[in-house]
Amino acid sequence: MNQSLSGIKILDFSGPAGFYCSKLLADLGAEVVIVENPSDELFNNLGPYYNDIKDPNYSLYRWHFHTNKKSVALNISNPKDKETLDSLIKHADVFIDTLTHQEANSLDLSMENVRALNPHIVHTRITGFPDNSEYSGFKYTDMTVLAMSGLMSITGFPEDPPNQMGGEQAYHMASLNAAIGTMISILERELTGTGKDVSVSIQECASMSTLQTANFNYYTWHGINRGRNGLNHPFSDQGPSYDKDRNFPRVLYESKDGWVAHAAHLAPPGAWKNFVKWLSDYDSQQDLDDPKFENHETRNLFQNHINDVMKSHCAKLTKQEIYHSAQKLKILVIPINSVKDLTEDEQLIYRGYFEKVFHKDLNTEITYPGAPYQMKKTPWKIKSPAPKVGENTQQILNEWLNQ
Amino acid sequence: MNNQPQLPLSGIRIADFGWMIAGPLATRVFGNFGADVIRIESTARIDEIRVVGARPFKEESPNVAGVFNDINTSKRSITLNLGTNEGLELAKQIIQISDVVSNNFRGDRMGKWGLDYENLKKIKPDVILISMPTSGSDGPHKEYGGNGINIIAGAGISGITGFPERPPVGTGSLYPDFAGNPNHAALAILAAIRHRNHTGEGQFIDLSQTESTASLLGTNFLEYTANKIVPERLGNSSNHMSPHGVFPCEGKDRWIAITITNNKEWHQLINLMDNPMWANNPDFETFEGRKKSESEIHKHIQNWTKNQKEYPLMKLLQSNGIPAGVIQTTKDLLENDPGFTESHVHEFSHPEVDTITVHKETINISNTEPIFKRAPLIGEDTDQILNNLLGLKESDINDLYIREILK
Repeated sequence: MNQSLSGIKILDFSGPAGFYCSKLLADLGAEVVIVENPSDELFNNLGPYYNDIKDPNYSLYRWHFHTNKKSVALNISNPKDKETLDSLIKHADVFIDTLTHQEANSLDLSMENVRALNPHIVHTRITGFPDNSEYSGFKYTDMTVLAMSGLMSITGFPEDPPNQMGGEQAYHMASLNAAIGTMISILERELTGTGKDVSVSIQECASMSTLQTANFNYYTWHGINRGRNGLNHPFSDQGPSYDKDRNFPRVLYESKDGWVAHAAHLAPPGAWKNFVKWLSDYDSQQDLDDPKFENHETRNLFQNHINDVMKSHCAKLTKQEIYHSAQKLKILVIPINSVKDLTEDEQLIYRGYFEKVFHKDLNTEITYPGAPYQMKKTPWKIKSPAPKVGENTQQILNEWLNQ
Repeated sequence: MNNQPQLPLSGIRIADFGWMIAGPLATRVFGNFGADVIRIESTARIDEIRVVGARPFKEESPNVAGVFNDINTSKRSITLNLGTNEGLELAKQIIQISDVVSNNFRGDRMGKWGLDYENLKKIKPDVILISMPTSGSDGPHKEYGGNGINIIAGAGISGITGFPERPPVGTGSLYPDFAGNPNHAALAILAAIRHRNHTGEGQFIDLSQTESTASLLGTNFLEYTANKIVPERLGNSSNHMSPHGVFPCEGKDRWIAITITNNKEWHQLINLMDNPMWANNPDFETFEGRKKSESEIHKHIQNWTKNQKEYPLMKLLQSNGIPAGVIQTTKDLLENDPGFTESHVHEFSHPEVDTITVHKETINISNTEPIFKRAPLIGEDTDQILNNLLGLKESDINDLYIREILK
């Protein structure tokens, strides 16, 4: 066994909310077979596309999320295809879907139906909302559940509309939790033989990300309902009085060629002196080398001034100059990187984060994001790019069903 | 042993050196599903998350912080002075009977204690060690640090969040601490446990928080590497849905997200808006056509939503098959969303404060009730762990206290 999930057969009937879940498991070595309906409208509209070729096989969405997977094309409104799906379920170790319970009932794929087909299966379902919620039948997209999770209400500028986060983060959070639940049940099944139903709701998973800055207890203890903080530190001026001494009220500063983010941490001894040294190295310190600023309380009185000094300091330098000079002094500043910046980052290149994936039909190598974790004995890897729609239908019917 | 039915992770033990958020949150799910997660900590250098953020009062008790209690459910706590040989020796004895050792220190903190992978293997040959430093365990910038506030910037997510015509958005959440890092870590540990169960072989898992967060960029990465387009801030729009935005509703700071995924939903929406003249445009019959005029369409939708109440509007849209969601705040989650509250919000009673409100376990498993026990007071389980697990006598434990080995 050279990958940690070798030997596990997963049938994946999920939509976009579950794509990252099965990618996680496929990239760890499970055999993941996606069931796709070529006549589904969403399926044919998952841009962006490679060189604008509007064909599902050239969807970057597909390329990114379906690495290492195999594709079986089925339209289960056709009874014969539904029968094939049922047979595949009988032969799978894991079944993943993103149906609402209402949809599942209409497709004969309720939790009970699936378990009746295969009593030992691990069945993982991602829903938008908790089962008991009056919203459980709601249609959703990444942004509408992100909205309902609380996360958007604290993302953005107070004077602007709330922001979504880039990259469909609600789906990622739900997929991560679903993959963890799936793995827990796989481990249990391998010990006891019993498969379980696993379910997560996107709303609950996404709400976990509000756990610190909009902690429930701010509201229950202090009546504080957090809002958006723009460039500022999430804890600045919205917390109870004991939370207001930050020294640095701001996180984001503009440099000569972009923005940087400062996670001020002045608790360790010497941290302030390091900060002043950093400024002094560029003659940016103004009066901050005055010993009076070594006192934490004094600094609190001069938060705006310190902020202004930092602002003009950063404006003189490039992102990279700021990054390396600050980090060398243990000052936690990191640039806002574009994807292009990431591909040029020395550290990521050194660690081999980027994966070159050969696309045979284009006769070209394309760089993919790599392992989220380096498992030293059972490496994460991309063995094959996303399959073409239905590419493996015959192969899987043959291998799984002897057809 | 007890009347608790066997939980899926019963029998797994984690020696958890995690602190702050990403480390402890990674092991929360293990405790909830039956593993024995032992926080190895110290009163000499208190885990900062025990004393920052939401607290009921200013006094610095290490036991009542809201975040700490939320991310350390169903764990035990032992305090050990790892600056002493005896304290370190006790930690090693715990590791010897653990399956997993976890930490999220920056730099080589574990190595300085002699608890790096090579040394751990000598104590416990099939150990699984996970480390999760900001930039990974090797490479020219392995010492470079950050936290949830700015790893999100380094990993590329801040660069695609916010409106294109506005400055970037500082994260309102310390997002990497809650999403990519703890969850990728938990999954990797589970995968490593499976490998160990099948082969007897442990391993080292090196999780760079930057890499694990960059892995959440979705298609943005390939947009650059395959299409040579550097993705910019997308505001509230989408690459494959239009209209797709956030619109004001009646009241102060009330908003609704409305997204249209296909033509049918588009027609439902303009029907609800009484089929206005502007919408009678053949170009709007496709995603591409709507996308081209998105800002104009959004203005019309905004005029329609701005005098409506957010929840009734959401229900109206949903009953017409349109994906829509209110921008809920924490207050809304606790007061206006009973399904969420019932399923996900839990109040613990606590020895030092009336109640602490936390997020319940997100993962539901059939016929399985998570343990979900209050987070431990600092050192709450020290005696029990030393006595029951390591077999120390009460008199020896008292002696260790006197000599400040257990602080």
